[in-house]
Amino acid sequence: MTTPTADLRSQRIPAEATRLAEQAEARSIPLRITGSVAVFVLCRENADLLAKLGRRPYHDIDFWALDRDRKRIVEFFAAEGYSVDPESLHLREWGIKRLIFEHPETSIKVDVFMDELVMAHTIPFADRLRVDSPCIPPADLLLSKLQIHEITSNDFIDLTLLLLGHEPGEEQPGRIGLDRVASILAEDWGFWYEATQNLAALEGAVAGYSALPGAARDSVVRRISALSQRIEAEPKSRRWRWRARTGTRRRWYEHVSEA
Amino acid sequence: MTSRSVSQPQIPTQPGVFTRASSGLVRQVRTQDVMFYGWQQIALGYIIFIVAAWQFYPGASMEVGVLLATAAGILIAICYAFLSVVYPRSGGDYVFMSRILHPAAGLVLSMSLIFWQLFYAGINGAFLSKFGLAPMFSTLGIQTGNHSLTAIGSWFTSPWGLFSGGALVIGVFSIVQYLGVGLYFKAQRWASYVAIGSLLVTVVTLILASTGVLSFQHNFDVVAGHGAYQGVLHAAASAGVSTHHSFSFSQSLYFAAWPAFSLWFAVLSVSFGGEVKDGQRSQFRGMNLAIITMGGFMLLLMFLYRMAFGSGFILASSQLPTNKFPLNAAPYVNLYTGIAGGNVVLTVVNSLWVLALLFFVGASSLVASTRNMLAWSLDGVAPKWFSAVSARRHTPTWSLVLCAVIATIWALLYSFTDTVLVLGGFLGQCVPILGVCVAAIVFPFRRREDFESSPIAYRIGRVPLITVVGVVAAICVGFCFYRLLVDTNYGANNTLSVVMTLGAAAFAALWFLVYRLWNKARGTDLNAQFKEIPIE
Repeated sequence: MTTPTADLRSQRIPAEATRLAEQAEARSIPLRITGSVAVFVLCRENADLLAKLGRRPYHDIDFWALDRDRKRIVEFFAAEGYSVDPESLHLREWGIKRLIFEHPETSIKVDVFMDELVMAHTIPFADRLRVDSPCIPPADLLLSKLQIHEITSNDFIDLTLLLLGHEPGEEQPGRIGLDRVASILAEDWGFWYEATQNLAALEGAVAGYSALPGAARDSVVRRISALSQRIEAEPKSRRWRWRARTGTRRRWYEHVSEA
Repeated sequence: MTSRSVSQPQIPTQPGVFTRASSGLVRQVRTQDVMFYGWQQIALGYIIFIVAAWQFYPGASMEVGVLLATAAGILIAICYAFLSVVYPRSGGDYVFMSRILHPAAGLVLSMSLIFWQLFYAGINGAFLSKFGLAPMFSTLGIQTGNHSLTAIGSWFTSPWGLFSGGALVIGVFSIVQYLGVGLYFKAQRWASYVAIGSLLVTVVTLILASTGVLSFQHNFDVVAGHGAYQGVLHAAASAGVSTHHSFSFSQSLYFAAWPAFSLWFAVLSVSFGGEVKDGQRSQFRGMNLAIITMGGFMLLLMFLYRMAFGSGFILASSQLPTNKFPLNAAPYVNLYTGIAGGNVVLTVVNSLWVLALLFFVGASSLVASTRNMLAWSLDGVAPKWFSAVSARRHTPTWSLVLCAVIATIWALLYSFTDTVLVLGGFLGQCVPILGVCVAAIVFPFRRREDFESSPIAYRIGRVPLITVVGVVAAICVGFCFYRLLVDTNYGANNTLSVVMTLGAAAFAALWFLVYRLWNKARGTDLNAQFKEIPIE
């Protein structure tokens, strides 16, 4: 159950994320929206489905950025009225490229990942920020959801909407770049295993969405199948093949602790 | 960010459905990093003077001594690791003791520990010269007949040679830590890989020497002169040195304090408790793996040293006056390993683990020191500048400078005076270790709610496991403390060491009192501060 204040904040979050990304772009800071908010921004035409499928309100905004802009990002958010979390500054000493901010009035929390997303699996993205705007490319958004080890029902809903609104194919606006997805997963067996498991689980979850029209459901299932085939067909790296020999006998993901 | 209470609410979950409150975070320090940090703190290179000290305990089995020290080390590590699960914060042992025992006890014991850690940060650099570089160059000089190399080896045992090692370690690692602890851990990882590779080569060399494939006696005679090996044994016998004693458990127990001085310090990985990946398991596994692996290597090396060089020869050579020893080098086991190998490449490879571990041990003390200072400052019992960080790198600045200055003073004192003894600081460090054991014993009773809601609420019958382990660990540490007080061979009970141990504690107590009064004058409730774990 959410409070009226939380609901209000949740409604404001997508607009605030877009505003921040545009303001940053005006200052030549590439700041791209990712996470669930990016799904909302990229899939506005189907946004009504979010509530019907039971998605919980947004709590925070996630961005991808470049580590070389770190100092300017801190200054930018300070100018926008956000306070930096001192603990996130301390993380840098340990090699973690991450900044966390919070707005004292709206309580909107912002997470900025720099150069790579290091979660259950790692996605390097330093060269991907100029591909799309104001959000990260749909292929990376898909990967960022597929890398989750303890996937939630909200993640399934996000993935459903993303696939409903984006045909997998050659990378171009409005499409999920299959080459990007397949090449990343062909390098890392653990990530490949996680992603293929999550795609299989997603297919099951989609089948259970009664609020999803039949045609939409078929479309999502067809796209999952196209993705799976492309991922399977991609030639795997030596490192992937070597790790595949051990399989799940060794932990294939990183533990993600509370931030 | 606000302070978090010790008992953190769990996110409610249903079976099969995961929930996530925020994006989460992957910590960068792995189990293997905790273990490698333990290796650096343990500094297996200390085995050189540990074996040299065997002569003081007639009838002692070095291997039994190591087994006893390892077993006690595991119990101590369980206390530290369990408490680190409940208090995963920088300056770990300070945080547990100040929250469980009393804020004053926490600061006094932690400050004493850091005082002695900085002492060792300074002199461990000198050890790099004395026990690493000097024997390596001496062996190379002896093997090649190159007097310049032998002279370099001798120089490293001179005051300037010793100080150079200290200055090198302090200088390099102050810069590395300023650049980021992440970089420190990367460097530590590579040094550990080098150390393990070199150690395996050493083990193979010693096995070959033990089984007669390589002949230490022959090689020693080649470099020291015909009949030199037997000459050492005869010279010792003539001097009244007995090298044959029947086994004595009590002497083995007394000897155990020497390996304990090395093995027990793996627990200081709690100083970066907040940064460890999968903290609940990593600290426990990392610390214990460090103690078990290094305890195992120590035991194996001691056995192989005896088999390869002869127990009688080790005891005889370590008790001979310098002018009776036929080589222009100190009679250390790494010198003998080099001679046994009979090959300059092997000598260098066999020296690498000693160099790698002794190079980092001072650095690991710097890490523990700056983390504790950060924790004191965050609690308001030390100046704010103790937690000052670089704007660019967010690494400690002034605390690092302070640590480097203090460590350099110790390196100077060790190098240029005779006042500082090797185990002089063990007495002062035993007390904080004992403090953590006591904290482990009373934790379930003094912080009942925190214990019950923690993942370490195991029981043996009705008694909390941490209490049982704490009692046994405290007995081990207490016994070691007693031995340090009564056994002059350790050098920890000399007047200077005792005065410094008491002086450090008294200084810390005065420090706490001043800060308590200062905080009171400012209207800050220090007691309330210590009811929560610190933010970072």
